[in-house]
Amino acid sequence: MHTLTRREALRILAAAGAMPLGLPGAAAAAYPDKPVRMIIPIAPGGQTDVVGRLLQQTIDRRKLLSQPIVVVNNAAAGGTVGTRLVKDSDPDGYTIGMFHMGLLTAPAVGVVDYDHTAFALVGQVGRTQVGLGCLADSRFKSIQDVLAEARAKPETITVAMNIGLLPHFVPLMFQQEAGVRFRYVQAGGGAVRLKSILGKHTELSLFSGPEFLLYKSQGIRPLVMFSEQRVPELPDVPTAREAGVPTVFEERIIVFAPRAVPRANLDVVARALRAAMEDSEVAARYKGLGIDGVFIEGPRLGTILDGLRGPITKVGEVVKQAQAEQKKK
Amino acid sequence: MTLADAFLHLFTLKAFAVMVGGVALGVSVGVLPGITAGTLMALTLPFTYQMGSVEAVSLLIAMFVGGVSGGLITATLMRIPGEPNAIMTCLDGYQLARRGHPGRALGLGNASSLVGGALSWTALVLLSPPLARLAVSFGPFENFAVIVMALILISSLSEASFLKGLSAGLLGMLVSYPGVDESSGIVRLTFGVTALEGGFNSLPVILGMFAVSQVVADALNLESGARPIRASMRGMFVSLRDYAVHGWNMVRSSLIGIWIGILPGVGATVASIVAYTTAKNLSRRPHEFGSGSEEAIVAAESANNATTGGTLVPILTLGIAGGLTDSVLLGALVIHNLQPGPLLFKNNPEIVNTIFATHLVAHLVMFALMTFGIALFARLMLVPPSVVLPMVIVFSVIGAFALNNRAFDIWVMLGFGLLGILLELARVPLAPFVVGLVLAPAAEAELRAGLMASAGSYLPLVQRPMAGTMLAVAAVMFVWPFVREWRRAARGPAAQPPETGLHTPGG
Repeated sequence: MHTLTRREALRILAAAGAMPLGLPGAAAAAYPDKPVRMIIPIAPGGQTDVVGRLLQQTIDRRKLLSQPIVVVNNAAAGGTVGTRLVKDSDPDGYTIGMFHMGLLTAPAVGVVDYDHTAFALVGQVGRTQVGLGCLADSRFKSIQDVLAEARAKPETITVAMNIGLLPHFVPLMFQQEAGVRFRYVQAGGGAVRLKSILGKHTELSLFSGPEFLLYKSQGIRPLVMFSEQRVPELPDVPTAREAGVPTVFEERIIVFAPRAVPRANLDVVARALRAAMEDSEVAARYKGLGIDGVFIEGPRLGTILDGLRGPITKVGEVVKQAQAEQKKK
Repeated sequence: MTLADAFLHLFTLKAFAVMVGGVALGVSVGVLPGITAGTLMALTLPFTYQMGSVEAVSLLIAMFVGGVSGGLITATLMRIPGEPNAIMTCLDGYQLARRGHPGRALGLGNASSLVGGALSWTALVLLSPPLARLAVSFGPFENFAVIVMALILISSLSEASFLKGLSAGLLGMLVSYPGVDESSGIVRLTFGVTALEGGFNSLPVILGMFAVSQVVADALNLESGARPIRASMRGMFVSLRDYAVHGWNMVRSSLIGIWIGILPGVGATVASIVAYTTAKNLSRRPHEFGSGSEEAIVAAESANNATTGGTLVPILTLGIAGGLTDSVLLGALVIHNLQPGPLLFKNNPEIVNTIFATHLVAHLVMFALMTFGIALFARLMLVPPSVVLPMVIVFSVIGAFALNNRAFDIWVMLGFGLLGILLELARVPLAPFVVGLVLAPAAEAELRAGLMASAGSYLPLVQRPMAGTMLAVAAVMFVWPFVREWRRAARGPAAQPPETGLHTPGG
């Protein structure tokens, strides 16, 4: 068992002490020459946070960076306060952020006025497939049942969502592309949406592949996955494409930095992250969490995310229209 | 590992040291204003990666139990809630202490905490699966009804001046509105101030209203040299007779705490508010509430500790978490590759039994530490306030900042400190403000979620049996204080209880 040695404790204290100073760094010297602050704009314990801390610890343990990374959680306002903090930080590479696709969906509903293009992307450090599920003994036996009923009776099937984030966005995208309409009910994070379904307060909700595996024993059944191909762990669940709807959407864990950070500094962080993800222990943990651990470099990730802007903006317009109608009432 | 094995393992040297350390740390952050058990657990979580899973959950549970309990001390001795859930204890604990019975107030609170914890342990161990099923059946409308039962307190806390109390409650509600509206994603009432998008978090606001304003008030009294509390610790040990007198209150408040604990995301603060209101409404001496009532302390402290066992029910049986502490516990399980849910009992009985054993033993350790700690902290009262008061401010600032790592929350705290001073000068009660602040967002979120599900129909509020029943109870609780006053007035002044000489009406 690993216990904290005095030297490590001192190092952590030193890192914590150095953190708020934010000295304008001589970035030209060997970056990094002081601890790097990584802002994770969600509460401790969630999937993105678990991944972030796992990578941070591996980087520190194996000294993949010459300086430690310090994780700072800032969960205020659905993560928007945290992402803004990264955006407005000094572009010296000593403040970076880690978040999920909320980075792209928050601006679409008008919560913030910037998306991933306001940042320099370091890379993608994880990906999970998502899909719609219902109660095991639900009257819906397949996604076709859902679509048929939604066509016959628009806005009657309830979907537990988390406003502005994927559990809201992906069903909206799916309904647009399938030409149906669901009724959305605000619930919250995965556990709260699980409760909502189990208590029969709502009928459908978006969960990730790992969540489906985790919640199977509680009586949650996946109906459709929004992946390119069938998910290996869920071989019986059809993709949306198989059901005749073109929706494809994945949850991604993204590392980013203020826009003007020198590419050389980003590459240093990217190399450390990639090396950490190749660590056998980390790979095993990713597998246990059900996360696809393929690293994607910043520029390539940028192209992928740019491609999603069109569909996301289209969904966002519908949400904004609904909000405007609500304001008028 | 059976439950008996888990208890035995807990008494091995290392396991016991980890647990006692956890409780001690929990009680300490509980005592410190601003730094909550949730913050402590979130900071500890990364260190548990390297621990065995049994030790990790044991440590976090111990911190959880200690943290819920420690707030009592600061609340009673300084009228500053060490933890938000001790807010109701501030009202009566401090008054009783000021009347010269700090030992009595702390002893009663400590004993009630133990009873609340032990009863909730019993519910956790014996009734987890059925309770979890019942909790899941509680939807947005039912949760809304529970919160309304707590909101009623605004009226009942305001008997001295109904109008001032109501205004304070509404002001508290108003303060909860700015920021991202959680039900629609729309940013509202921020007046273009970006920092306000996160809203006024209740922790810095409560710290400002109670800690900062109290410190300023005490500092202004420094010259007069008046020490508010003499450190008489007499009555620190609660007799069997007390348990008999307060027994029903302890059991009732614990049941309220257990049930509210089970509902994900409602929390210990709401539990102590509901238990306090219920105790007041059922009390034969309701006028004592707010001016040092023993019943009030018993109700608030039984209820907030009873939520600890309740909270664990949905985490273990369903993998459902509500607040920060719950999420950290759930996160710890997931990090250690444990699947919370029905299978946890089958696949990892050692974890479940460790959690059960730790929950009970941590309460006993907490009781011992608190008894010792009360004597210790009471000495704090002998330390010159010129030393203690700056420390309170320092810890409040740290706590406000640590919540979200942003300086804005410190300014919020100081700003509301100023508001607290102004309200006190205007003799506007602070308690209804806090009740409005804490409950309005929860009530709003639940009601709007319910309306989204019903396509805008309010009918389920009365059609769903549990929601309807609870709203009816809330209505009775709302009207009852007025009815009681009216009946008392009708009977004439002779019907007043004879021992009224003890208390000053209205605080």
